[in-house]
Amino acid sequence: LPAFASRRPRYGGVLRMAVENADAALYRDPAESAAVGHLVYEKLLRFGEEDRLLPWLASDWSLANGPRREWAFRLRDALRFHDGSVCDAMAVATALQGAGLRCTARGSTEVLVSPETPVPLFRELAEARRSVRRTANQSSWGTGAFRVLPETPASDRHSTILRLAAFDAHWQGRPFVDEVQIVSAGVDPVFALEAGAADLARVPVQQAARVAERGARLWRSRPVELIVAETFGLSPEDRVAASLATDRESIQRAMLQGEGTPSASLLPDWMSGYGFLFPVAQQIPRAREHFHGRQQALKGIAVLATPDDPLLGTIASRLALDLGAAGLAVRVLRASASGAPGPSLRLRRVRLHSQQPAHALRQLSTELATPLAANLRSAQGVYEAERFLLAQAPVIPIAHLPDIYAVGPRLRSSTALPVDSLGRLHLDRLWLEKEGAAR
Amino acid sequence: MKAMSFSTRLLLLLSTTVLGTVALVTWAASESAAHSFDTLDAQRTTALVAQFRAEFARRGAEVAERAESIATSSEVLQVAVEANRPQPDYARFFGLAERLAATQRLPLVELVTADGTIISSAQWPARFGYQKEGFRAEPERTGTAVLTREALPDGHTLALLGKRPVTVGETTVWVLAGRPLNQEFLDTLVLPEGMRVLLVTASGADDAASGGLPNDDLTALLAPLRRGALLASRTVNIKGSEEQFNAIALHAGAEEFGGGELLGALLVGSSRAERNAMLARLRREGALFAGAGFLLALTISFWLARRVTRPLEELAAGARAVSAGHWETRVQVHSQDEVGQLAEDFNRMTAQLAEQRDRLVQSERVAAWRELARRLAHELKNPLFPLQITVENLQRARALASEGSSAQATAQFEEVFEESTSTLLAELANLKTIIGRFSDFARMPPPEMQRVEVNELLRESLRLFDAQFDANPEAPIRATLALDDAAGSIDADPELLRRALRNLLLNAIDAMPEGGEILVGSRRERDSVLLSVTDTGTGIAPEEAARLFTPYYTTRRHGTGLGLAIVQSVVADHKGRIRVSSEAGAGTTFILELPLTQQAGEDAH
Repeated sequence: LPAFASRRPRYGGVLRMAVENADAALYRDPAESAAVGHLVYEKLLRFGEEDRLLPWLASDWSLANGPRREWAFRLRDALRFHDGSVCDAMAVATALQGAGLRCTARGSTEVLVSPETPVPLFRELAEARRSVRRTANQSSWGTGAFRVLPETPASDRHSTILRLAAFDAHWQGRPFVDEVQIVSAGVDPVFALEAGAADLARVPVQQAARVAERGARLWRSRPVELIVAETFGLSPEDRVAASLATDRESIQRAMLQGEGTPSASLLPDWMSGYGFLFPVAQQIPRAREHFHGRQQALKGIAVLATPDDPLLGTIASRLALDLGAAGLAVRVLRASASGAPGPSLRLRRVRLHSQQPAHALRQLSTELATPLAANLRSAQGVYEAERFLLAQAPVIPIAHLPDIYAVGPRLRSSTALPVDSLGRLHLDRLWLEKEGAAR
Repeated sequence: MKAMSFSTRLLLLLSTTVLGTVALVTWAASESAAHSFDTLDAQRTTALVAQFRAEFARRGAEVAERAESIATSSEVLQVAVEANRPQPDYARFFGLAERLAATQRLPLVELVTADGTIISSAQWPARFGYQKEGFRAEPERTGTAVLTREALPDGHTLALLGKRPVTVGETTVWVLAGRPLNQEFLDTLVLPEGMRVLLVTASGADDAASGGLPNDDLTALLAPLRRGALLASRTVNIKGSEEQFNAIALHAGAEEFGGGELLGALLVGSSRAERNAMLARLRREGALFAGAGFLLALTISFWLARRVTRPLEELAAGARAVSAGHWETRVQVHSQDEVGQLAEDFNRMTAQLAEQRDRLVQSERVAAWRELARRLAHELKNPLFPLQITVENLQRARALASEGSSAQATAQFEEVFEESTSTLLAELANLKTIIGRFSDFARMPPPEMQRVEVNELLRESLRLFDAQFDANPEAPIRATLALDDAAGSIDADPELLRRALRNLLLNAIDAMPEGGEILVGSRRERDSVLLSVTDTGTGIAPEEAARLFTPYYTTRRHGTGLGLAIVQSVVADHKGRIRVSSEAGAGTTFILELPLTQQAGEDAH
């Protein structure tokens, strides 16, 4: 059938993805990028949907025979690094040893790993930091479907963030597109998409509704990016009052155009299941009651707006208005990360790297430099840990945002949604229709 | 106070005249220039305000037109439709105002419900859902924009705003669209050089950055406007540079220059740099002219003073020389004018004075000789007459003795002879004394100076007369000493001084034939010592006092008239002075003023 035939995967073409300037840092370094790192560097295991562990470079595993409790991971056949060298058991063991695991090679296809900590070994092996890579001469090669192209044409150097080329020797076979170019498109990546300069655009959430109105296809992750207001010089009680003063629902409805979720918790409700226990409704009278005697202590309080993040700038402005409604005289300062001399709030995005609440909380604990309560094994323990973390950390959660991508007419996917819950794009599942065949 | 010299007065007069004239001219020129500048400024300000009003009207029409375009757009119509729903959700219109603002190129666009709730705001998106301050759901006249004050995230701004209702069904949504009256607006005005315009809100609080205008000045400038004035002026010093500001009140509403609430002011600043530079130049040139005039005055006054005062100074010097006894002094006659005439008169006068002095000296000399001759004749005649009588008696006695030839006659002759020879000897001695006195006066020795205790000298001199004071019990004389302990010693010849004092005391005794009192005193002055001899005698008549120290002049029947002449001679030899004060019938006081040292006496002379 002609219709069916037009949707058969096609190899070739350069996939251009436009991102906002503010998001460029998410893509610049694949070794550190949660968004595209998995396309270059792979692990023995990986998380699938619903946080299930799936075999990846290791095809299967078993307990090894021996005096020590070791797991033997059998590698897939024909694994190669991007520089063409063979990725055998020795190379994997070396890489994992470099990542801090105790492991040895057994033969060319088996890697023996001894767990040292109570942390579940299999989850560890699926973490990004346990990826298998070969490092030499200050270069690092992975085994993923794409390899990093170091050279960038001079004419594109100011706008090109990252170039990835299809890795022909990938164990799953080469991806469909020859090359992926991630380019910076100012503050309006959708314009690049609509102008035909890109096939895929990472859409700022505040623009998603309008883009959808214009008929563009959107791919959304679950809300995985937390927007928080970091506070400086505010007491815990001040933080609670500021949280009560914040009109999260208006922020979500108007500024986020209904995308994401208003949130007074650190973990999104879809992840923790208890997000509703952290009420998001604005309570100006209670906030005003608290701030009534605090004007002098909070004199000169400022909300710092990050100049290069328009969304955070708008939310900062709203936060200032809301605090003003609660009785504080608040200034909005266009300030860099250096902060302000007096009490202040600064908005910040925090990206979650795990779907597991406990793991996500650990990550937040690290990023917010606040220790966690110990017991995270039960759901109750996780809830209490989050309560504790929220009480201790100088932050006010505002909302959780999804990653949203607008899709050009030529772009096709071999799966229904090539963006997973954590916002990772599976560019290896995408292909480009021929010019003129898209419609 | 020392009298001002003629040349100084002349200099002062000329200088004052020149400086006064220059100052007057400079002041008049400065005033005139300042007035011209101020008038020009006022004209330029008026023209600028007219330009502002024209631009305001033009932009107002443009804003009204664009606000109308927004109000009739389909997007706003959708908002109005949404407003008709029972529970309208305006969230999806959050970014609409920004898009409309971009489309219409108006920085200020807001959609507001009838109760003033902001649906969407281009200038302050975060205000979604908040109430718009001061909003009234009243339409403005079609085709017009109003002056208003708009809240922005970083303060307030004056704005030109079009306000249009969009009604669907029973519900109205308001479109407020416009542009701020800011520097960009002002930049469209064509400003004359040296002028600038600023806009400030009535609060003034957020306008500190308005061209560096200090807040105090801004407040002072706005104060009259707040009281209802339409215009206020003030000269402001900004970083050392003067600027004249005219503040024109801007009121809310369509008529921006009057009517509603005072929203702000249009400040027209006119640099006074050029004006002040001109005034400074005038003053500088005035000062230069004044300086040059002063130098000229100095030169002229010096020349005039030289020309006028030099003969006068010569005359003054001549007069001083004449007063010092230089009778032959003559001054040079430089001109034929009044001063020259004066010089000639002076010369004539000194010539006459010298001639008269010579005649006077000559006559005085003759008079003195006559007096001397008279005194000599008188003094010598007195003893000569007894001599003559005695000799005649002796001749007669000898004739009688020769006629009688008797022993008795011889004895009588011898007796007469003895008596006559003793008389002759006595009178000859008298003659000798008289001649000795004249001789003494003629041969006054030069003083031999030594340190002399004044008080001791006075005591000694007085002591010599103790016996004489008590000689006549019928007419006793009482002597009293009134000595100043500080009198000390002086350079003097003690013998000559004793002689002078002796003469004074003798005179005093002679003046009191009926007895009386003599007071001898001393007193220390700054550079001299005063010695005084006072009697309570008959006193001296004024006409006598004038000739008192003339040699050979005496008021006594038997005096030589040399006593006081000797006293004067002694005092003069000691470089001192003698004074006399007398009152007829009450007594006389002689005061000798002698210098402490002869050096001091020379200086005094």
